[in-house]
Amino acid sequence: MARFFVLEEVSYCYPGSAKTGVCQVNLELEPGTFLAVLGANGSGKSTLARLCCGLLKPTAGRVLVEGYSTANDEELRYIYQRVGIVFQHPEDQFVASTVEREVAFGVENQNLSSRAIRQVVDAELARFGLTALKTAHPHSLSGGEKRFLSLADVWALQPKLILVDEPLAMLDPGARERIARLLKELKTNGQSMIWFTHNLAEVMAADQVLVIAAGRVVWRGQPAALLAMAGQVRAWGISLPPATQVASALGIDRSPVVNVDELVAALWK
Amino acid sequence: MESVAYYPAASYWHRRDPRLKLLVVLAGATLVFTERSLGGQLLLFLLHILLFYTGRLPLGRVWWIVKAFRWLFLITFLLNLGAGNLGGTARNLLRLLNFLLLSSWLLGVTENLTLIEGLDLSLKPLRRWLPAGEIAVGFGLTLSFFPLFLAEAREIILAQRARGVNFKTSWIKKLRGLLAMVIPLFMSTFRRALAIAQAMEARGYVPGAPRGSLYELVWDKQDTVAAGLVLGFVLFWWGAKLFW
Amino acid sequence: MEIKLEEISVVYARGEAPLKALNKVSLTIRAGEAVALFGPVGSGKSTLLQVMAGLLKPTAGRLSVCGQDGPVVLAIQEPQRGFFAATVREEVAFGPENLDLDPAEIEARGTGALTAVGLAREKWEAPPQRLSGGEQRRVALAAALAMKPRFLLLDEPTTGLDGPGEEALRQTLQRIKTEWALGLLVASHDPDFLYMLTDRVLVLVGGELRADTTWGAWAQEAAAVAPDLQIPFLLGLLRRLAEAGAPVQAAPATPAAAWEELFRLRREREKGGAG
Repeated sequence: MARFFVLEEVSYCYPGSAKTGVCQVNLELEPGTFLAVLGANGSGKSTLARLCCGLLKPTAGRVLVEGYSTANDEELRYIYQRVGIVFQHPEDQFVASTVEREVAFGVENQNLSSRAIRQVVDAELARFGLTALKTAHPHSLSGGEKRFLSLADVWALQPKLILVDEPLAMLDPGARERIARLLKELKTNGQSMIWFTHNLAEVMAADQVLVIAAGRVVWRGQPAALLAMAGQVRAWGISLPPATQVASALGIDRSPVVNVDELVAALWK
Repeated sequence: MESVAYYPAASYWHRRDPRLKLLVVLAGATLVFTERSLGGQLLLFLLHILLFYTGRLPLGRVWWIVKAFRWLFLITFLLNLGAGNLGGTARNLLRLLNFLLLSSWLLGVTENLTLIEGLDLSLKPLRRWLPAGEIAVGFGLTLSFFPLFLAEAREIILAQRARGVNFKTSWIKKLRGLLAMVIPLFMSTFRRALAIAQAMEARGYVPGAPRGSLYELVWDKQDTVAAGLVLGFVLFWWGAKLFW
Repeated sequence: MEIKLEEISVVYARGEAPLKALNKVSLTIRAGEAVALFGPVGSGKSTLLQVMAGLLKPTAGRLSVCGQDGPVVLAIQEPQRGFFAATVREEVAFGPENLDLDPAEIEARGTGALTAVGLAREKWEAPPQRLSGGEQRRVALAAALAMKPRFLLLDEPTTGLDGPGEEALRQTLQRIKTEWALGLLVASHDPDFLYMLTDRVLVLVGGELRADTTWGAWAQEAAAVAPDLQIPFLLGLLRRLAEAGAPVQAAPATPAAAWEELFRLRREREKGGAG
């Protein structure tokens, strides 16, 4: 049986541009893993995301999904069935003029009967709390609703691997919490996820972290280990949770501090 | 944006097959194009209002169209004024409005993807000569792009007005101000088009490949009746012109 | 110079249900002040800034700008969307050109503004599209400063920036605030960014002005007025410490005082722990 998801010495250079691409990235993912890719803006995160799902083809190396290579045009459609991507800006992926047709679009491409499509669409609308908005125009939604819709679009396809690029940008705390809950649910379904962000606080629950700087992987490990190396993490351009930042500024370095409770405990028992 | 966006409602026209609605627009556009009298155009205008009314579209939409396309109206007005015939000018303005009303009506009562499917099926007989699927999707995407394009245009105009652009100065400055709006808009449209194409590809869209649909198109009896009425009306209109 | 809003309302006609973006907002800001416009996404912040900059006519209410000795300049959210010139220098010169200044003055203002935002000189002749997100934000800020505003209004200036980009922007704004003696109004949904930069906070929720106060006072009343809104992390922390019985002042006047409280607590604890 072919390995689930592998990047072998993957590089990408933008043609005729000084823009940083991605350089010799190696990665292997087991099914059911939550991987976080952390990096500053311009570190190559978004390029890597597009390489992982086949929208960009590596200029060197290979991306393999269950044995299918993204370099091969005939195999791409098998990869699209297995890997879904949620873009940074939800508006960039909307094609329909009602919410329900928008969720249906990907499912329709699988050439199912309208009853089967309806079942999937209704389930996803309910899961993301969009049922009441199903006839609304996607562009008329609020920022949080647009984000939920962009997630529903991809969830409806039930990919084995979901890539999300900075999904919490410009969201209010309430919407952030709901998304965090949804992602936990994902894990119990045995799907895998790669979450691309510059903010460590968003991915403290990740099984594995990969730090990328100037297109290269500079660190791998557990998210909690990054808390103890505040100076280095900041130098990579990654944001630490606010409690960790304050703890590091106050010189509290005995144990890693992630949230306010721990910080209060460290300052005043 | 409101003047061309889909307007969800449960009207007679919302329930009709998109192919029928395309037929209505085709018939309407032919009449508007061939009608040479002011009175005739006025009558067609009233019929379009009737279409809006039976499609449960808010009549405010008519006013939004006039507002959104006021420059087009102004240009038409100035061009026609050169020809010097006031009745003809009024007729041509009304003709322009009638075309816009028809498009606005179609987009108001037909969801985008449904429209794409309808177009795709209507073009099917021409598939030997035309890439029907691609044309339909290209057309549909342009439509779904439109509201976004207008919103972006509004933002960019705002940005440049905040930087002091005004059109009360010299011609050179006016031209520069115009460029300052057109260039960013062009760049953002280009970027968006690329992003949407990628998003569609990633969600498994293959141009021309068979697709399912959330709402399978069913051409029912009512559609046949309506199509007959539309064609009959066109013939009646032309017949009436011949005999009067 | 001051901008005064009296009972400003803005209603957007939108289909059958008109949207009330602002509802009877009254406030005054003066040149030299640094004010935060804080509220959730979609609470009417952008609309309020557009009204203040004279770019949007309110549906009702009065806007008066007294003592006109410089323009009110707004930088929209993600201002790089408006870039169109071939070089950074030309991009920055666009605003002053629209003010009909003479070429020498335009040149001088461009240099001054680009220096103030700290953009490296070798980038001045580069096309703005080629710069990084953080650099583009600096160019946009320089383009606004080159118009010598008496009031600078910034709409969500941190959108799309990462940690270091945000920190660099905050430092630049801090410097500009003191050196350029202008009125600064920053709209954001991020209380921590605003807290370090401003003294006064206007809280906008659902188009209504819920508070016009200091950050310290806002932290005290937030739970009662708008429980869904976050308060600055430092103030939340001090509150929690005070509730736990620690000898700290829960609502210090400035961020510096807040840090001082925390350092003092830490010193006392260390001493206590050693003794």
